[in-house]
Amino acid sequence: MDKFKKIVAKHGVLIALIVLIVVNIVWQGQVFLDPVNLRNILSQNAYVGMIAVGMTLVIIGGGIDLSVGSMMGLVGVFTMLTLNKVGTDPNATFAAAFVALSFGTVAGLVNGLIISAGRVPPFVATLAGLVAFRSVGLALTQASEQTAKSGLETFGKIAGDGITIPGLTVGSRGLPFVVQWPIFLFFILAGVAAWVLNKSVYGRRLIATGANEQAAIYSGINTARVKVASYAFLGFCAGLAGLCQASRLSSVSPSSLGMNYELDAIAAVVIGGTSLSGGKGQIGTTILGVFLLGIISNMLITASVDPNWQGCVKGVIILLAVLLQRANRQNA
Amino acid sequence: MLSTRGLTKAYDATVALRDFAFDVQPGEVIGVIGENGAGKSTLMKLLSGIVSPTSGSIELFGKPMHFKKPVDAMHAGIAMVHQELNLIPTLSVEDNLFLGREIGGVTVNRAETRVKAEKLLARVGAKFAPQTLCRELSVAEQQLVEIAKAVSENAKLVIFDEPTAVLSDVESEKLFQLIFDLKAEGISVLYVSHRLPEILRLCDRLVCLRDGVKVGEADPKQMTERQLADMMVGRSIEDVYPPKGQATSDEPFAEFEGFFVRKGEILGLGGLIGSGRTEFCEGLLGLRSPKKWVKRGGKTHQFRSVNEAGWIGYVSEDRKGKGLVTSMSIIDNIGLANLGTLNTNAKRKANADEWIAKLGIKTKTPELPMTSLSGGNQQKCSIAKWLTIQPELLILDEPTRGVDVGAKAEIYQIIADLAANGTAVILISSELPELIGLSHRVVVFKDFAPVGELDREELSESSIMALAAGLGKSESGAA
Amino acid sequence: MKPIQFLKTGLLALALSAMIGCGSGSQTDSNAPAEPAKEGASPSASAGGKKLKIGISIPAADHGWTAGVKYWAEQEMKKYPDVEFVYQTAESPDKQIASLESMGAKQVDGIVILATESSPVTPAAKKLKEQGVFIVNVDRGFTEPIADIFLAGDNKKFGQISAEFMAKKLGGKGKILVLEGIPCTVNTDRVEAAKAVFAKFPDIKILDSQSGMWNQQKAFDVMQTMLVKHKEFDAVWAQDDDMALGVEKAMKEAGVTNVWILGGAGMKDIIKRVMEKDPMYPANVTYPPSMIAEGIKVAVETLTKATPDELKNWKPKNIDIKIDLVEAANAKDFYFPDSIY
Repeated sequence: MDKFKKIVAKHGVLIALIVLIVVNIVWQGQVFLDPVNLRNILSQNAYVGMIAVGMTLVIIGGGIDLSVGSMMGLVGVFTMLTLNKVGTDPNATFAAAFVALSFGTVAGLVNGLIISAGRVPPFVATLAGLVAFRSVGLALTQASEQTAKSGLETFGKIAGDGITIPGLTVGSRGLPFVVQWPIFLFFILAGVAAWVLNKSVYGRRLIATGANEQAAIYSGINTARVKVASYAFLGFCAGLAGLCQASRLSSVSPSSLGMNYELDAIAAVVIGGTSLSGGKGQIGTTILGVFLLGIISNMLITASVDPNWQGCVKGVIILLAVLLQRANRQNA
Repeated sequence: MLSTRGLTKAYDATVALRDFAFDVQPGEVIGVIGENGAGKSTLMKLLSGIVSPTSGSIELFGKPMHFKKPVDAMHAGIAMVHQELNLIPTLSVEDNLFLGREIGGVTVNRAETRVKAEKLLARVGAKFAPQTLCRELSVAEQQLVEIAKAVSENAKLVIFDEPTAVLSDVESEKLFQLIFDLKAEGISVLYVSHRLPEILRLCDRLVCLRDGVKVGEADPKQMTERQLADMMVGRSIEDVYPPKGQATSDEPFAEFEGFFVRKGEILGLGGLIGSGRTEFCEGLLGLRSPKKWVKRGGKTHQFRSVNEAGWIGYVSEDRKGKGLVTSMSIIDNIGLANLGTLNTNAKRKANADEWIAKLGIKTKTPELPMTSLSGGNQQKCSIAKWLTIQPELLILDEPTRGVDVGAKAEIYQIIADLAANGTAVILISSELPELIGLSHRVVVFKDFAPVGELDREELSESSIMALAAGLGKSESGAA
Repeated sequence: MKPIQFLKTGLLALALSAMIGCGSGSQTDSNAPAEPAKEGASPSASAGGKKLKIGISIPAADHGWTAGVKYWAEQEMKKYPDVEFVYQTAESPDKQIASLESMGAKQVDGIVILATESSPVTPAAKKLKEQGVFIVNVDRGFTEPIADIFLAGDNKKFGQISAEFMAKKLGGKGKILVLEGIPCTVNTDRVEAAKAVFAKFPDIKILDSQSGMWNQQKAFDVMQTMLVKHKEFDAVWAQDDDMALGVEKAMKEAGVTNVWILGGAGMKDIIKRVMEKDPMYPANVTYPPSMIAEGIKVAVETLTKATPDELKNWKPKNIDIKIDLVEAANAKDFYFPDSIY
């Protein structure tokens, strides 16, 4: 019995995810197991996933970043402005990608500097970013949708193209079954982050900084630098997510792109068992958390649940997933 | 090897350490004693690079040192084992050992780290594997990791800050052996402790501080505990333990699983660290599972919260963590357990004034935050907080931890007075002399349950230790 | 440092437009008299030569349509350089109430308000009315008759017109998917009215009704998921053009053809495709964000022209905003290439 409890506590998210998948198969089997649906779940959640990966590192380092959703929106705006300004295929795509990734990284870096050098609590500093980034995006575009001009096909391929799986087709016309690049980018990002966390020297220092900053400083760790790097990495993730999402829609809505992504990402991280007080967490379980949320959304739509009730169902499932880990941890 | 001259550290107007000069020889163990606030921790912080001196010099092997960060001191060969352990609970032992100076470039070189960690752990006699997570270790084991970390950087001088405060006697014994080993290797040790018997046993020489000034150096072999105590407080203190009175009644007042306490009696709870004494008390008050029961006046209770246990006061061992809200004022802290009655600022102020006078709490005004007080005065506030509810049973968990000699005697007197007035007192202490000096009876815990009871006549360090170690009651023969 | 350059130019542009907005704008509308209102012409601006002060309170630009509202309001305000506008956007009813209160404190002569939500904002507007502020209400009506002029946008009618077109085009028979917006009164009015129309046609089957949050990306995601379940259908009632674009992308990705989409609100890109007879977009239903400009115009005109007596004995007036069905034939009347929406 104790052994069982321990297993539940250790693999709480995984168990919750499996339970959810089983429920889904029983309830919505045909639709849920359709390869296209599974691919859709991967591609729809890859973007929040990218941000959740970066967020995991920031939270393990004892921080939090509320600004990433807005940052992603602003990245999208810069991406579109650059794309349309350069205007020639494929140069425009490279320029846009460069701007997106470098702006994201720099914005994250600035967040980190404000927090560590400016000694502003992360919650406050990034709350300012949450409001400010969104506003700059709206101001630069007069709040209007930015659409990629015609003749910029390469750009659409970032999120539209991918690896074709032979033997599977999409829709009645039998289009090739494509697993899009953002899905791979998400898993690559997650792999890199997991390696950093578990194998690298930086990972030890990040965990130490989040668990006990004082002790980390006494051990000679430049915790300011460690923290800034985690925010910059998250900024890069937000930049990548913004770039891919802009490509997927071939347009950017400055008011809605990335809206609430910070909350979804933090939710995924917390469901994944990472402690909000820092010093403890895993990339793998964050990914499980991302898909837990994604599968819930998918299930609610395929089961035609009234949209007004969906938030409630989602909230309850999230709470149950977290309680499953919490309750058992206390008894163990 | 180390010498300081004119070492001074001032924080704004307060001088924490003034003109401190001393020399340390290789392989020498120096005890540093003094009341809280005497400047011991400032001295340690200066030597380990946590703070920089206002003036004066530190020389190591004739070379002047200017530490800006703790790492600088570490590189120079001065390592410190902190009282509050500075390990990362979620990292493995080996990662902790090499934190901040990991082996390998970008990636950690696991193999080499493992080998070096094993070597270090063997050196301090640790029996656990280097890949164990630190949170799975006992406090004593964690301290071993700290020590291993301290000696790993080719330390020439290791500073210990109250190392035995969190250790049981058996574990302390191992630590002393380790210190002797270090000494044999030619490593110098600076040993800071309130526990005078340890100082007398371990140290080759001792330095006494009072009010930031070195008031003397002495050879411990020529000193008694009493003389040391007098030297620290600068006056002669009377016998530390007040005379034991009689329990007011022979009838058990409250019964628990395996033991009971009478009114007016001080019942000591002995045992090793981790023997479950604190856990028993917290369980009794509904603060943790498994919950414990208590029988009073023929009725059995099992409390779900501190609120329900209205007639029991519990002074926690973790003063800063569980006992006091250190950022709040003295007034608010003393009133914290009884806000239902003390429901206005005026009432809380009057209440605080009353206890400040009764317990002799030293503060300029009670509006100051708790952090402005010394450890001893904080502890008195912690006790005052529970006395406001007029408990019939008061549990004191390690009431003199981190408290200096002068304040200790005053707290002993407070405890004795309480018992004399008919309060039942349960005293948990890991300092055997304290347990013996104060208690009418002692119940010894082992593995989360009481294993034996000792009367006033049976009390001795060896009889308690025998029970605590699971050897049974030595004198009376019953097992 | 490209991004920073963008930021700089953006901010510069913003500052410039702000200067033009409140400075000596040259292009005055012929309808609006350039000279200040006659002494005592406006109810509370009694001091001689005092500028007419009008408050504008609209929802913040949280999706395409509200961005359009913001754009049209800002364009219209530039036309009246002699009127002092107190212009504020609000993300939520409570923020809108706060901004109405601040406008009251600033002693505006009139306000033009597009409510974020009708009922919570009504009492705050009522308070202004009691202070003697002239109230022009656009789109969503108050729950009490306190507006002096009400330009009613009718979301129920919007739902009805678009559903009637869809039913007619389907010949009263077919399977459809419905997209809902952000759950709120506007969405409920539209969706309920449309469903009431569809209910009259027993052969029209609503396969599913899910929320795309009036947002292209959410509509894309939701449509992707619905497409797995529903392979056979004839049309998508997408309600809003932002969502229509998301739906189109999802269908393209899944290779769905022979299905048409009915959006709404008259986004220029969609109107253009209606005009070009794109089979995917046979029609559109307008719900023009420019209605706010209309509201500002009537407010300025009324407050400058009407005498104090007229204002005192003002009879509440309703102006209906026309909700038009746009088809290939009349699309060019609704195509504004310079609009941001």
